[in-house]
Amino acid sequence: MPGTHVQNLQTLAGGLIPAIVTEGDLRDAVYWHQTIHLPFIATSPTFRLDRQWNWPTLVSWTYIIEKIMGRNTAFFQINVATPAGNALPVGQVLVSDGFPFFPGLGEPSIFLWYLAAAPLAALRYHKIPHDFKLLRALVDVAIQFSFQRGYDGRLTLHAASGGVAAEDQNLYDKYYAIGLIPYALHLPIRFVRRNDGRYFYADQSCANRLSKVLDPLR
Amino acid sequence: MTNVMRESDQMLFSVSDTERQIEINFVKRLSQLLRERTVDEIQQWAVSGEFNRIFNVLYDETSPVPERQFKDLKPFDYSDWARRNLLKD
Repeated sequence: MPGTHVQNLQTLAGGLIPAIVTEGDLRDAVYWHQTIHLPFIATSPTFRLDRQWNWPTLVSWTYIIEKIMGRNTAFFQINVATPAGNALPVGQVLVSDGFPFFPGLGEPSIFLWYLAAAPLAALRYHKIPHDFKLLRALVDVAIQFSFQRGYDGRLTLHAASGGVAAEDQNLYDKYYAIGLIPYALHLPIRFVRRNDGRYFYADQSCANRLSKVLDPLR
Repeated sequence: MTNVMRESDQMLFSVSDTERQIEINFVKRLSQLLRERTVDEIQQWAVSGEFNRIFNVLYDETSPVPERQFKDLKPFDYSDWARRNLLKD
Protein backbone atom coordinates (compact mmCIF):
# COMPACT_ATOMS: atom_id res chain seq x y z
CA MET A 1 0.00 0.00 0.00
CA PRO A 2 1.54 3.38 -0.99
CA GLY A 3 2.53 5.45 2.00
CA THR A 4 3.47 2.52 4.21
CA HIS A 5 7.05 2.34 5.38
CA VAL A 6 9.04 -0.87 5.53
CA GLN A 7 9.03 -2.89 8.75
CA ASN A 8 11.90 -5.13 7.75
CA LEU A 9 15.24 -4.82 6.03
CA GLN A 10 16.56 -7.37 3.62
CA THR A 11 20.04 -8.67 4.30
CA LEU A 12 22.48 -9.33 1.51
CA ALA A 13 22.04 -13.01 2.33
CA GLY A 14 18.32 -12.70 1.65
CA GLY A 15 16.95 -12.81 5.20
CA LEU A 16 14.59 -10.31 6.78
CA ILE A 17 15.40 -8.32 9.93
CA PRO A 18 12.80 -6.22 11.79
CA ALA A 19 13.30 -2.51 11.28
CA ILE A 20 11.47 0.67 12.24
CA VAL A 21 11.34 3.88 10.23
CA THR A 22 11.30 6.73 12.72
CA GLU A 23 11.26 10.49 12.48
CA GLY A 24 14.59 11.78 13.68
CA ASP A 25 15.27 14.95 15.59
CA LEU A 26 18.47 16.76 16.49
CA ARG A 27 19.11 14.32 19.30
CA ASP A 28 19.03 11.48 16.79
CA ALA A 29 21.34 13.36 14.46
CA VAL A 30 23.78 13.79 17.34
CA TYR A 31 23.49 10.10 18.21
CA TRP A 32 24.35 9.20 14.61
CA HIS A 33 27.22 11.69 14.68
CA GLN A 34 28.68 10.16 17.84
CA THR A 35 27.87 6.51 17.26
CA ILE A 36 28.20 6.03 13.51
CA HIS A 37 29.78 9.05 11.88
CA LEU A 38 32.80 9.93 14.01
CA PRO A 39 34.06 6.39 14.67
CA PHE A 40 33.24 4.77 11.33
CA ILE A 41 32.60 7.31 8.55
CA ALA A 42 34.88 10.24 9.33
CA THR A 43 37.76 7.77 9.68
CA SER A 44 36.73 5.36 6.93
CA PRO A 45 39.70 3.96 5.03
CA THR A 46 37.60 3.86 1.88
CA PHE A 47 36.01 6.74 -0.02
CA ARG A 48 32.87 8.10 1.60
CA LEU A 49 30.99 11.04 0.16
CA ASP A 50 29.68 11.82 3.64
CA ARG A 51 33.05 11.79 5.36
CA GLN A 52 32.84 15.50 6.22
CA TRP A 53 29.13 15.71 6.71
CA ASN A 54 27.92 16.86 10.09
CA TRP A 55 24.39 15.65 10.49
CA PRO A 56 23.43 17.87 13.47
CA THR A 57 24.47 20.86 11.34
CA LEU A 58 22.81 19.54 8.19
CA VAL A 59 19.55 18.78 9.98
CA SER A 60 19.32 22.06 11.86
CA TRP A 61 20.40 24.32 9.02
CA THR A 62 18.54 22.56 6.23
CA TYR A 63 15.42 23.06 8.34
CA ILE A 64 16.12 26.81 8.39
CA ILE A 65 17.19 26.99 4.74
CA GLU A 66 14.11 25.16 3.54
CA LYS A 67 11.84 27.22 5.80
CA ILE A 68 13.22 30.35 4.18
CA MET A 69 12.42 28.82 0.79
CA GLY A 70 8.89 28.16 2.04
CA ARG A 71 9.27 24.42 2.43
CA ASN A 72 9.27 21.92 5.29
CA THR A 73 11.87 19.27 5.96
CA ALA A 74 11.68 15.78 7.38
CA PHE A 75 14.46 13.67 8.83
CA PHE A 76 14.06 9.91 8.92
CA GLN A 77 16.08 7.03 10.29
CA ILE A 78 15.81 3.30 9.75
CA ASN A 79 16.57 1.45 12.97
CA VAL A 80 17.33 -2.16 13.80
CA ALA A 81 17.84 -3.85 17.17
CA THR A 82 21.21 -4.77 18.58
CA PRO A 83 21.48 -8.10 20.43
CA ALA A 84 21.10 -6.10 23.67
CA GLY A 85 17.81 -4.68 22.42
CA ASN A 86 19.10 -1.17 21.79
CA ALA A 87 18.02 0.77 18.73
CA LEU A 88 20.73 1.31 16.15
CA PRO A 89 20.14 3.66 13.22
CA VAL A 90 21.54 1.98 10.12
CA GLY A 91 20.57 4.69 7.65
CA GLN A 92 18.97 8.10 7.44
CA VAL A 93 17.61 10.59 4.96
CA LEU A 94 16.91 14.30 5.08
CA VAL A 95 14.28 15.50 2.64
CA SER A 96 12.63 18.71 1.53
CA ASP A 97 8.85 18.76 1.31
CA GLY A 98 7.36 20.57 -1.67
CA PHE A 99 10.37 20.91 -3.97
CA PRO A 100 9.19 21.65 -7.52
CA PHE A 101 9.11 18.52 -9.66
CA PHE A 102 11.31 19.60 -12.53
CA PRO A 103 10.53 16.68 -14.88
CA GLY A 104 6.94 17.90 -14.73
CA LEU A 105 5.38 21.31 -14.39
CA GLY A 106 6.77 22.09 -10.98
CA GLU A 107 4.20 20.15 -8.98
CA PRO A 108 5.30 19.56 -5.38
CA SER A 109 7.62 16.64 -4.81
CA ILE A 110 9.97 15.33 -2.18
CA PHE A 111 13.60 16.26 -2.75
CA LEU A 112 16.09 13.94 -1.14
CA TRP A 113 18.87 16.24 0.06
CA TYR A 114 21.09 13.87 2.04
CA LEU A 115 21.26 10.11 2.53
CA ALA A 116 23.69 8.01 4.54
CA ALA A 117 24.01 4.35 5.38
CA ALA A 118 25.99 2.90 8.27
CA PRO A 119 29.16 1.18 7.08
CA LEU A 120 29.64 -2.51 7.63
CA ALA A 121 32.26 -1.83 10.30
CA ALA A 122 29.66 0.03 12.38
CA LEU A 123 27.22 -2.87 12.10
CA ARG A 124 29.91 -5.33 13.13
CA TYR A 125 30.93 -3.17 16.09
CA HIS A 126 27.35 -3.12 17.32
CA LYS A 127 27.11 -6.88 16.82
CA ILE A 128 24.65 -6.69 13.96
CA PRO A 129 25.57 -9.85 12.05
CA HIS A 130 24.16 -8.68 8.75
CA ASP A 131 24.80 -6.38 5.87
CA PHE A 132 21.73 -4.71 4.51
CA LYS A 133 20.46 -3.56 1.16
CA LEU A 134 20.03 -0.03 2.39
CA LEU A 135 20.04 2.30 -0.62
CA ARG A 136 16.73 1.06 -2.00
CA ALA A 137 15.19 1.08 1.47
CA LEU A 138 16.35 4.64 2.19
CA VAL A 139 15.08 5.97 -1.13
CA ASP A 140 11.83 4.15 -0.40
CA VAL A 141 11.43 6.11 2.83
CA ALA A 142 11.38 9.31 0.79
CA ILE A 143 9.00 7.83 -1.78
CA GLN A 144 6.54 6.66 0.88
CA PHE A 145 6.69 10.10 2.47
CA SER A 146 5.84 11.54 -0.94
CA PHE A 147 2.78 9.29 -1.09
CA GLN A 148 1.83 10.34 2.43
CA ARG A 149 2.11 14.00 1.45
CA GLY A 150 -0.21 13.41 -1.48
CA TYR A 151 2.51 13.86 -4.11
CA ASP A 152 1.85 10.49 -5.79
CA GLY A 153 5.36 9.30 -4.99
CA ARG A 154 7.11 12.09 -6.90
CA LEU A 155 10.73 12.24 -5.85
CA THR A 156 13.76 14.16 -7.07
CA LEU A 157 17.37 13.95 -6.00
CA HIS A 158 20.83 14.94 -7.08
CA ALA A 159 23.68 12.45 -6.91
CA ALA A 160 26.29 14.57 -5.18
CA SER A 161 29.77 14.63 -6.58
CA GLY A 162 32.81 13.85 -4.46
CA GLY A 163 35.31 14.93 -7.05
CA VAL A 164 36.53 11.37 -7.71
CA ALA A 165 35.30 10.34 -11.13
CA ALA A 166 35.07 6.60 -10.41
CA GLU A 167 33.19 7.17 -7.15
CA ASP A 168 30.88 9.70 -8.79
CA GLN A 169 30.06 7.15 -11.46
CA ASN A 170 29.59 4.47 -8.80
CA LEU A 171 26.97 6.54 -6.99
CA TYR A 172 25.25 7.41 -10.26
CA ASP A 173 25.15 3.73 -11.19
CA LYS A 174 23.66 2.79 -7.81
CA TYR A 175 20.74 5.18 -8.19
CA TYR A 176 20.23 4.00 -11.73
CA ALA A 177 20.38 0.34 -10.68
CA ILE A 178 17.56 0.68 -8.16
CA GLY A 179 15.29 2.05 -10.87
CA LEU A 180 15.35 5.82 -10.48
CA ILE A 181 15.12 7.72 -13.76
CA PRO A 182 18.10 9.86 -14.77
CA TYR A 183 17.19 13.36 -15.91
CA ALA A 184 18.92 13.85 -19.22
CA LEU A 185 21.85 16.22 -19.23
CA HIS A 186 20.62 18.30 -22.14
CA LEU A 187 17.25 19.08 -20.54
CA PRO A 188 16.88 22.38 -18.69
CA ILE A 189 15.92 22.50 -15.03
CA ARG A 190 14.33 25.85 -14.47
CA PHE A 191 13.96 25.40 -10.73
CA VAL A 192 17.58 24.63 -9.98
CA ARG A 193 19.08 26.45 -12.96
CA ARG A 194 22.02 24.16 -13.64
CA ASN A 195 21.78 20.57 -14.85
CA ASP A 196 25.05 18.73 -14.41
CA GLY A 197 23.51 15.44 -15.54
CA ARG A 198 23.38 13.94 -12.04
CA TYR A 199 19.70 14.46 -11.26
CA PHE A 200 17.33 11.55 -10.84
CA TYR A 201 13.62 11.39 -10.33
CA ALA A 202 10.68 9.10 -9.78
CA ASP A 203 7.33 10.01 -11.26
CA GLN A 204 4.14 8.32 -10.11
CA SER A 205 4.64 5.30 -12.35
CA CYS A 206 8.25 4.85 -11.29
CA ALA A 207 7.39 5.35 -7.61
CA ASN A 208 4.69 2.69 -7.81
CA ARG A 209 7.10 0.32 -9.49
CA LEU A 210 9.83 0.92 -6.91
CA SER A 211 7.34 0.58 -4.06
CA LYS A 212 6.19 -2.80 -5.27
CA VAL A 213 9.74 -4.10 -5.07
CA LEU A 214 9.77 -3.55 -1.32
CA ASP A 215 6.15 -4.46 -0.62
CA PRO A 216 7.21 -7.78 0.98
CA LEU A 217 9.08 -5.75 3.61
CA ARG A 218 6.11 -3.59 4.69
CA MET B 1 15.27 45.93 24.79
CA THR B 2 12.96 43.47 26.44
CA ASN B 3 13.39 39.88 25.52
CA VAL B 4 10.15 38.21 24.63
CA MET B 5 10.08 34.46 24.73
CA ARG B 6 8.79 32.65 21.71
CA GLU B 7 5.40 31.16 22.37
CA SER B 8 5.97 28.21 20.10
CA ASP B 9 8.93 26.54 18.43
CA GLN B 10 6.92 26.75 15.22
CA MET B 11 7.33 30.54 15.21
CA LEU B 12 9.98 31.68 12.81
CA PHE B 13 10.41 35.18 14.17
CA SER B 14 10.53 36.76 17.60
CA VAL B 15 7.63 38.72 19.03
CA SER B 16 9.90 41.66 19.88
CA ASP B 17 9.89 44.24 17.07
CA THR B 18 13.62 44.87 17.32
CA GLU B 19 14.59 41.23 17.37
CA ARG B 20 12.16 40.45 14.60
CA GLN B 21 13.68 43.10 12.33
CA ILE B 22 17.17 41.69 12.94
CA GLU B 23 15.93 38.20 12.14
CA ILE B 24 14.11 39.36 9.01
CA ASN B 25 17.25 41.11 7.76
CA PHE B 26 19.24 37.94 8.41
CA VAL B 27 16.68 35.83 6.57
CA LYS B 28 16.73 38.22 3.59
CA ARG B 29 20.50 37.99 3.32
CA LEU B 30 20.53 34.22 3.74
CA SER B 31 17.72 33.88 1.22
CA GLN B 32 19.69 35.92 -1.31
CA LEU B 33 22.78 33.80 -0.70
CA LEU B 34 20.80 30.60 -1.20
CA ARG B 35 18.98 31.77 -4.31
CA GLU B 36 22.33 32.45 -5.93
CA ARG B 37 23.40 28.84 -5.30
CA THR B 38 22.44 25.69 -7.14
CA VAL B 39 21.59 22.36 -5.53
CA ASP B 40 24.90 20.84 -6.52
CA GLU B 41 26.76 23.79 -5.03
CA ILE B 42 25.00 23.42 -1.69
CA GLN B 43 25.65 19.67 -1.68
CA GLN B 44 29.27 20.38 -2.53
CA TRP B 45 29.48 22.51 0.59
CA ALA B 46 28.45 19.46 2.61
CA VAL B 47 30.85 17.11 0.83
CA SER B 48 33.80 19.45 1.23
CA GLY B 49 33.01 20.32 4.84
CA GLU B 50 32.44 23.95 3.86
CA PHE B 51 28.84 23.66 5.03
CA ASN B 52 30.06 23.22 8.61
CA ARG B 53 32.14 26.36 8.36
CA ILE B 54 29.43 28.50 6.75
CA PHE B 55 26.69 27.33 9.07
CA ASN B 56 27.69 27.13 12.71
CA VAL B 57 26.65 24.32 14.97
CA LEU B 58 23.35 25.11 16.67
CA TYR B 59 23.42 22.14 19.00
CA ASP B 60 25.89 20.64 21.41
CA GLU B 61 27.04 17.66 19.43
CA THR B 62 29.37 16.51 22.20
CA SER B 63 26.73 16.03 24.89
CA PRO B 64 26.12 12.33 25.45
CA VAL B 65 22.93 10.93 23.98
CA PRO B 66 21.48 7.97 25.85
CA GLU B 67 20.73 4.80 23.95
CA ARG B 68 17.14 3.86 23.30
CA GLN B 69 15.48 0.51 23.35
CA PHE B 70 14.32 -0.76 19.98
CA LYS B 71 11.00 -1.79 21.49
CA ASP B 72 10.39 1.78 22.62
CA LEU B 73 10.72 3.32 19.15
CA LYS B 74 7.63 4.86 17.60
CA PRO B 75 7.19 4.34 13.87
CA PHE B 76 6.90 7.55 11.87
CA ASP B 77 3.50 9.08 12.43
CA TYR B 78 2.59 11.17 9.40
CA SER B 79 -0.46 12.74 11.02
CA ASP B 80 1.65 13.95 13.91
CA TRP B 81 4.28 15.34 11.53
CA ALA B 82 1.63 17.13 9.53
CA ARG B 83 0.06 18.60 12.66
CA ARG B 84 3.41 19.89 13.90
CA ASN B 85 4.22 21.35 10.50
CA LEU B 86 0.88 23.12 10.41
CA LEU B 87 -0.43 21.23 7.40
CA LYS B 88 -4.05 20.55 6.69
CA ASP B 89 -4.99 16.98 5.77
